[in-house]
Amino acid sequence: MKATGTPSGGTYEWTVTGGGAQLVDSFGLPETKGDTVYLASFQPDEATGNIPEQLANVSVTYTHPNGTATDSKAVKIHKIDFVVTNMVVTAGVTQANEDPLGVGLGSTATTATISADPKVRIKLDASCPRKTDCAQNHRAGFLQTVISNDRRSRYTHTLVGVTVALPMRDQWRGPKPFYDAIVQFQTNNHQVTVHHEDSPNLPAHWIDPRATSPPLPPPSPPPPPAPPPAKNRQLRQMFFANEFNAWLVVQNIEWSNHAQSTSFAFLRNFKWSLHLDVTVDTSQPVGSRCTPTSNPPTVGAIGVGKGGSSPNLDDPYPNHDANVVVMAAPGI
Amino acid sequence: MAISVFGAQGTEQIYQTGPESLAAEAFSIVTGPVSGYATHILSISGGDAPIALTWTVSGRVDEVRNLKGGPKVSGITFTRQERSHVIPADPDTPNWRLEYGDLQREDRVVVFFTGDPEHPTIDAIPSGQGARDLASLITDIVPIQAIAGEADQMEAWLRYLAASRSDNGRKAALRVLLSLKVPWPKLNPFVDFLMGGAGVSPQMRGYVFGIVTFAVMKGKFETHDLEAVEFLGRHFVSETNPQTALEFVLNLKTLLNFASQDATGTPLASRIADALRRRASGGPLPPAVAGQLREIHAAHPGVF
Repeated sequence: MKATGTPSGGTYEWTVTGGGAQLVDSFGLPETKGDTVYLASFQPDEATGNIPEQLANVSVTYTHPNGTATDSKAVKIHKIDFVVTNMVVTAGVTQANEDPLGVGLGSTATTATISADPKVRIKLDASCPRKTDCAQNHRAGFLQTVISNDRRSRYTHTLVGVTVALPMRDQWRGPKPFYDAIVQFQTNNHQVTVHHEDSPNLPAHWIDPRATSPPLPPPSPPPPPAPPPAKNRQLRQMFFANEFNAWLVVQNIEWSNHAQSTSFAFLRNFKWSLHLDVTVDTSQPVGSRCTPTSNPPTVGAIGVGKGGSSPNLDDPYPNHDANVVVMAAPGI
Repeated sequence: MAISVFGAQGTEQIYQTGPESLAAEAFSIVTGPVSGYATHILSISGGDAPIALTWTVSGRVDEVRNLKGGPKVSGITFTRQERSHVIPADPDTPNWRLEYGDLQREDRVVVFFTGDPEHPTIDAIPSGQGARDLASLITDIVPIQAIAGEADQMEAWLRYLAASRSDNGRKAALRVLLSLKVPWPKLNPFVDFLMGGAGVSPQMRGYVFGIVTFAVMKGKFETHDLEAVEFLGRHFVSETNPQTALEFVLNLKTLLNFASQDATGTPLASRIADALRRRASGGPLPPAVAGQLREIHAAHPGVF
């Protein structure tokens, strides 16, 4: 928005009310002075995920030694709708995948524990003057937050635990703060497919890692008791449970440069969890050592909008910031 | 949360990359036993009985055997990063590398030289016995990759698919054949043989089923996708291993959700539903498979 004061040489002071709008400079930083400012607004409806039309009132006061002038204008900020189809979460299983080295509690080799491929279409209001630029300022992806975590492997004389600070942002390939790849819209009415999949896994070797770890510098801790009995140094139990909240979102790219936490339109949300605790008998052949063998995940109803919780957007994420604690434990 | 060693990458990745990808990229590959094996600990766990979490392994290959490229001098030194299975794998590490595990003192290594020949990137991967015999796999596939012309190479990969007794060899052949856009009528007899062949592991049958499912969803078989789905249905109905049958039905569920997106997928959905019905009416089902069929029925009441 540009104001022209006459005679020249005065100063401009801008204000804006309504529409959640802000006055910024060409870099998107807050600005209320100068003859040119830009209007920025991103006010998604958390209940629907759409961006409703807003009305902002912009005023400017021009101050000059000869006097003061004011003007104001009502500015319409156009709406954007996002049409979501195929929002189906396919649930696989968490199962005990045994091999000669150990077992991984996780998905099958060829299907994810959960996966989804929703399609999102961007529909700009007819009044949008820069449709391609506007569409390309939005990208779709998934956010996921870990709500609960239990990952323990019990050997005869050892407990291995993996913990994370909860709730924690989840990330696979990113980029931060997204869980996985993001897809940018290219034009008005462009439809993108947003892939989401997760296959949490708890691996454990049959033999106590205290007995197989590369040696630590002195004073190295003593190894666990060796056989006999044969059960010594053997994997005995595993405990594996996780709960997640996931959101299909569209992010306003320019807005995210300065206010990431408010840069999302939340289109859909769902909660999901997995749970498989097993007892292990290493005297049995590989392939039949763990009981029970599998359990499907629980996938909650798909909600429209943001739902009742908020994602964690902080830096740490489990694949990078998990804590591994190995404790000597009473013999079982 | 992908806090994992196995399955660190997406399910699609297992159908797209493998040792053959690195072999094709490398200008030279050698193998040999390791000497001068040494580890250096980088980080340890918490707790009162800590273990090493990350470390480097360094070593030397004195007796070099060339697998690809010109003669190499002996005394190749290498360093590789390793990590305990209890911490998450690097998401950028392809699954196939994890299958070869950590380098053991008695292992051989296969050393791949990539990038600028003057300043190559040296990538040493363990090679052991059986499923970890990477050296034999690379020995097999390098001559096939050297064949000029896609048609001749496709024929060579088909012959290798039939002849190989190694699951990793068969998987490599299937991946390359898909990338070469092998027509379904050409591939069908080979995968049919694998699905019914004596001595083919349940894991290999799962992989064949998965890669055919993947190929259908990616449109790799073009006008033959219905025939490929009928192949899937036939083998789902006849699979007797409960865990493999579960893997099959999960693939079919994914494929059914894919086919149900719009009307163009109706013929595929119909074929899948037919197979599900035949299995459901064919006698007692493993409980996990029965549970999946109930779930699919609830989600697709008009189809199955």
